[in-house]
Amino acid sequence: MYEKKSGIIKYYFDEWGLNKNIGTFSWLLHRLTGMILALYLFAHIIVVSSGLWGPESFNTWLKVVQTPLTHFLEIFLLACIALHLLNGLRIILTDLLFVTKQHKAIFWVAGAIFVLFMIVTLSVFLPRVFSH
Amino acid sequence: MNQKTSFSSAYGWFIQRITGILLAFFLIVHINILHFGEKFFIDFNMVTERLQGSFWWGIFYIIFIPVVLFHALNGVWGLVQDYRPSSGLQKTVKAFFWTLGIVATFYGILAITTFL
Amino acid sequence: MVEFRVFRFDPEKNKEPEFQSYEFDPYKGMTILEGLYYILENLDSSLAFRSSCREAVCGSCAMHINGIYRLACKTQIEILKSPITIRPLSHLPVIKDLVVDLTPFFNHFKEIKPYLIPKESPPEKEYIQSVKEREKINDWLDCILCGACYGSCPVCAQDDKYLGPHALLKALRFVDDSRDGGAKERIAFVTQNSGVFRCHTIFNCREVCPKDLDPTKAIAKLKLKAVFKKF
Repeated sequence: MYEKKSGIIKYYFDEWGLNKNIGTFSWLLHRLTGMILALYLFAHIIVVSSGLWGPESFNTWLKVVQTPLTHFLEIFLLACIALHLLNGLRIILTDLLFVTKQHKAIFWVAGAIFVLFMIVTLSVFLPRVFSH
Repeated sequence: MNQKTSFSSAYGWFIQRITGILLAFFLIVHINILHFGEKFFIDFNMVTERLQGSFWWGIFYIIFIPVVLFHALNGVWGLVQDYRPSSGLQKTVKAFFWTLGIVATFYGILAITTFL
Repeated sequence: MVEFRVFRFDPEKNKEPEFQSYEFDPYKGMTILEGLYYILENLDSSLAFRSSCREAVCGSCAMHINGIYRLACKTQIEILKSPITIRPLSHLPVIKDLVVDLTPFFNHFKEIKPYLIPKESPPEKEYIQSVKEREKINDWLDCILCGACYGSCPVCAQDDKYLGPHALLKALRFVDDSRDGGAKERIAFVTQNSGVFRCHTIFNCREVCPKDLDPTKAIAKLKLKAVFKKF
């Protein structure tokens, strides 16, 4: 008998290759953004906790993390948060109200909100990146 | 039907939804102030001024930190479970996540108190 | 002319599966299953696949056809773009070509006890079910156990202990049945480590179900029942 074994990362590509659905897409995005946000959370706690060693320490650390590059990467962070939040609310809506029939419509509504949010974000952050 | 009933999976799932809804609120407030505020550059004085401005900010972050840590670690735990680790490895990972979560919660709250 | 690209694997010859192409002229209204039979009869008699009723009732011929898990007998060649790629169901071991070993699939089905468990005090004559009570389980009855949902569920890929959409749908079918006395036992059973809470609400099972059932909804209902112990 033949049993396909896919690796830890390849598993996601295999599943996407076989099920090109809205559901698989949002699940993969939710995974990816969730991992990024979990890693960011711990980095964030470490940076903010530099205040424990006095205001100077905090200010030096924050100078390091507030450069044109990080302000540019912040756009991606906000995109991750928006995607994870909107998709999370979509799943909670399904879990509590059983709106499985409308799940595609809800997906596109969430997508539209995401696009609007990103337009606002870019209009705020792009000037910020170039104002250094 | 011989599998052991696991209430922690039920409560973990349910608390993940509750913390998710709470986080939607916390994150919108937190991000609106820090990333879309008038000041582009954050420093110690700005944070202290804001957190000392209202008593509620302290409460806000003391609830926010454990909620976000639970949501993050429980989320990663769900991912770990997808790979069907052995029960010994599951116990180790679970113990590690609980320790990490509790330590990070106290450390995070301690870090916030420097601004209060 | 239509081209079939069929997943081939012979445990005696190959170590890795390969795809083999077949070309033939389909007639109007020809289904994928009829195409496979045409290949079997005229082009390559070594091709193996399962089928029985050829009218979407038995659930034997579920396979992955051009990107979607569906029943070969219910899908016409006309609506698909050539070449048509045909794979067996995923997440199950392949015995030969398109035939998979459904043992894990049916084991999970048996685990949830797919039969009525009598109530503590059975009635003297029969279990009476009103029309209203019957309507409660209308949406969960039509499962033909084809395995399309199991193949499409990414959770089943890594974890062969995960009960799967089909078993969870059936579990709710018996929980909601007014004649069944085992609701408590059933909810307790699906609340296990590889049970209902491993579902990530990916909706694939709902998308592929050839009977238009909604396992995603059934699982969501089971989850809330398990949390609030409402049964």
